[in-house]
Amino acid sequence: MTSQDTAPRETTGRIWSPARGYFVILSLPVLFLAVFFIWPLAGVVLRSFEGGDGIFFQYLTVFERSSYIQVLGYTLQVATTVTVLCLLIAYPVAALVARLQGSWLQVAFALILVPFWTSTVIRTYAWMVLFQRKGVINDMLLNFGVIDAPLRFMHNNIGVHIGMVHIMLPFMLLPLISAFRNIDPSYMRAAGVLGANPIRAFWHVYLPLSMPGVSAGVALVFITSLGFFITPALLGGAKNMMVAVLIEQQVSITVNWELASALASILLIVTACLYVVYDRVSRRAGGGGVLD
Amino acid sequence: MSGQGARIEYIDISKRYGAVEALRPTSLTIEAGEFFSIIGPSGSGKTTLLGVTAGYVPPTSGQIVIDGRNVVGEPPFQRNIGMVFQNYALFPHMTVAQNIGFPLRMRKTPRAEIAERVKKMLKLVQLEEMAQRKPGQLSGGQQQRIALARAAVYDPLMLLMDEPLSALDKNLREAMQDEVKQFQTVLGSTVLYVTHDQAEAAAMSDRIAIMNHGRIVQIGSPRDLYEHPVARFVASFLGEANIFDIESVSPHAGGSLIATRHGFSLVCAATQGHEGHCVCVRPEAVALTSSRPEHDNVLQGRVVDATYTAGSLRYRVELAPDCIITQRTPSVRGIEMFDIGATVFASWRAEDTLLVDDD
Repeated sequence: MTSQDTAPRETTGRIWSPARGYFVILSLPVLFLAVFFIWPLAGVVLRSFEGGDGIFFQYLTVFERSSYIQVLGYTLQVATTVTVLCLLIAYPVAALVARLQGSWLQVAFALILVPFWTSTVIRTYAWMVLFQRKGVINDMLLNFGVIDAPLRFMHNNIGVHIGMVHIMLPFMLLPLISAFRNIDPSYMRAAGVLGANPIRAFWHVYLPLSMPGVSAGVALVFITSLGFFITPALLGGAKNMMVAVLIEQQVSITVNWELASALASILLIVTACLYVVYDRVSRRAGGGGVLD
Repeated sequence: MSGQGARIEYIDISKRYGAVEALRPTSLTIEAGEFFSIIGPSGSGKTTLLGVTAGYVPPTSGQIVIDGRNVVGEPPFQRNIGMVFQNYALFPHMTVAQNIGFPLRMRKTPRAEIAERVKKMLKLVQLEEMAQRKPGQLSGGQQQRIALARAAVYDPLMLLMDEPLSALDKNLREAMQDEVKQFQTVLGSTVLYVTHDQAEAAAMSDRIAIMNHGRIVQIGSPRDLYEHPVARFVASFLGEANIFDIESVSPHAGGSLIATRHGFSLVCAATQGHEGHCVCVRPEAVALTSSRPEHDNVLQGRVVDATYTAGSLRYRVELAPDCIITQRTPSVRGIEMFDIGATVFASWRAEDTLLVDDD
């Protein structure tokens, strides 16, 4: 080898790298989101600073009116309760479904996905039919003599919770099932052989390994519940209002776009803050954060 | 901590899945402190036998008696048996120390004692500095050692190992064989080792059981099985075997004379008392020469393939149109090799003509 061969040759032209393709792939979705999501969202946030004395006028209005604060508090409470109920109901179901094989698994998935074929509005109306004063449930209870006067299921807490849990359940089930299916059955087998009875094996092995699914499901259901509109609007009462319903009222009844924008912005900020806190906590708990 | 291995007796143990007999009624005794291997192809019932022993596969019938106690009615967590799983099954969310301490924790051992015994086990497998790592941060060989430590830390009655080395590459696998064997010697435990790798089983075991179609075909020391296979399946599963189908057997000068399907006449030292249906000749027992030698069995053939590998030289010799035998000799420096197509004479002693069942 002679000395002139040792100098590296200058590279001519651009070096190909797979990263070049990412730009092309991402351009369309980014453009779509920018036009139809980011731009209108920015409009909402900007609008919340208008229509009064000083740019924070609308925000001050919200925080001065205790009824608005109550709505925000109630929204958080409902979202929390719905999330916990969904988790409690979905966890055992998902654990069972995750163990199914072949056609039984397909049947289970079909059953979980069937509700998506019907719109949320229609499913909520179905609940109204069941819950009415002279609805199916009250009729049945009256006929069997369980109650003397019809019960109130609608326009109160009960209706909103049942309706929302029903709508949200698949969003909890799907991430849980996918996480459970990733748990190698040999871990539970090993726990058993090593001396853990089924309860302790669940507590020390299965539960911690299922945390990524729990994280994802909880985040999905909680955040969706915070901004949920249709079910609270149809099944909820005037006394207990969720924030999305309040925003809608500000727009369509009061025609106060600025206040509605401020409320929407507050909801957005609260959601984002809770999400970050939640992600930190679940990551520290060893379950792996949602943002991983 | 040594000499604690238990004696295990299987009495007519069987497992049936619907119409499939995964394990036919099997009786077997493993002595205290013995390293016992089960080999066989997949679906032979060896994994079922392991699951039945550990307790997560309920047997259809039979008893498993460990140190005089029938454990068939006990769930896995009460059996006090240690197990190393094929993929190790180390809990990914626990540190190495927590993994090894897990069985002790389940037994409500005091914290201080757990710490002490975990430390002792880590020292035994020489991974003390890894105590605070997660299993995912360890190499395959290290995970293997941790799995061993976890299975043995609570002095179980016996250790079950389900193909524990199959995930490792070849060199590491051989090194780990010695380590596993040494680990067992130090602890004095009874080991039931399941593998499909006959060389691995032969290297470590006191005795081996060969399984096929849900039953044990033969039990013996590695040498027994290789030198005295009872069936064609055993002969060809354990190492390489040249098999000749038999046409007829007749008595001949203290042994027997065998006519094979290809029309060869072979001399065998064994008498016809053994109802053999085919003949097995080990590749090492065969000698190849270019001129006709004076020997008990001499067959002429043509070299069709020659392979030189580290340690051995392997020829394939065609004796008849559809009869090819394998021959193996140590590959020493300067050895002269036959060309492909060369005419050679394959010869072996009458004692090396083995009669086996045509299974």
